[in-house]
Amino acid sequence: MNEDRELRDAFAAWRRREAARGPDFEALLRRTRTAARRPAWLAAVLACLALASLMAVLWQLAPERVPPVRPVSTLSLTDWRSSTDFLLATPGSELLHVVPRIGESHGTFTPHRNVSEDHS
Amino acid sequence: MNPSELRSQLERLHPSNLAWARHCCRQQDVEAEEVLQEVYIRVLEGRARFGGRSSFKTWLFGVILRTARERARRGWLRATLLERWHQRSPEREAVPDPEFLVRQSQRGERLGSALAELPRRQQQVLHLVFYQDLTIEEAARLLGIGLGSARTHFERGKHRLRELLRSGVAA
Repeated sequence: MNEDRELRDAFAAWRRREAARGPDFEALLRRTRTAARRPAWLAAVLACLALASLMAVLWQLAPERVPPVRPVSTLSLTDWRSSTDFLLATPGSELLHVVPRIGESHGTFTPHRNVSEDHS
Repeated sequence: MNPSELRSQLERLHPSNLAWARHCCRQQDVEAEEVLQEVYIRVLEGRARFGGRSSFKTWLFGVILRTARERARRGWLRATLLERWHQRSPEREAVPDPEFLVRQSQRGERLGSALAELPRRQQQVLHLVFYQDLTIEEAARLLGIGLGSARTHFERGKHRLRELLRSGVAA
């Protein structure tokens, strides 16, 4: 118990010495108010500037944009046409695709007349 | 508790608060004052509210301890990130302020230097009981440890502190 008393006394002496050190309550509160009055918008502006500069740097570092490559269109089998398809379009070929009707004519037939025969 | 009552309580306890804040910040005066500022703002703005489950002093000391820990964590994180940035190994163990050690030796305050030699938990319990006149129960509650554990830290701390003071290691 006596040893405890010694320690208590030693701590009490330390406490007395320490009491004189450091700012008092009012001084600390005044400092607190000053710190609180520090404009919040300043921090916001600084944050925005930092963000903008970061974006600018990233923009500079980004690789050049290449236009997207269109994929080669692959034709389906039904869409495919041969390059010589036009040869099949012969005169009168439309007659092959329609059903003839009685009384309807799909054209007028004019036989080729030989001029030399007319003169004879 | 109304604001003026709160303010007068804080003012009354201010020297003890400052000493506890210094202890929580490993005797770094500037850091301790910043911690205390933050605590006063929290309390006066109602962000930390006294629930009446313990004495006001115990509760306030708890707020100071938590705030100091938060700041230390933030500081550690910042230091670690900066260390990584510079590719140096982080220094995890906080050491007492060298200025404090010099000041202690200059003033011949063996007690403070000897206390700094003890494990952290023993330092805290001894400070709360001997310096701040709290009971061991209050110290245990404040530190969030069991009563038995606090008693053990108290006894071991006392024993070691006496040894250090007798041997004059910290002188």
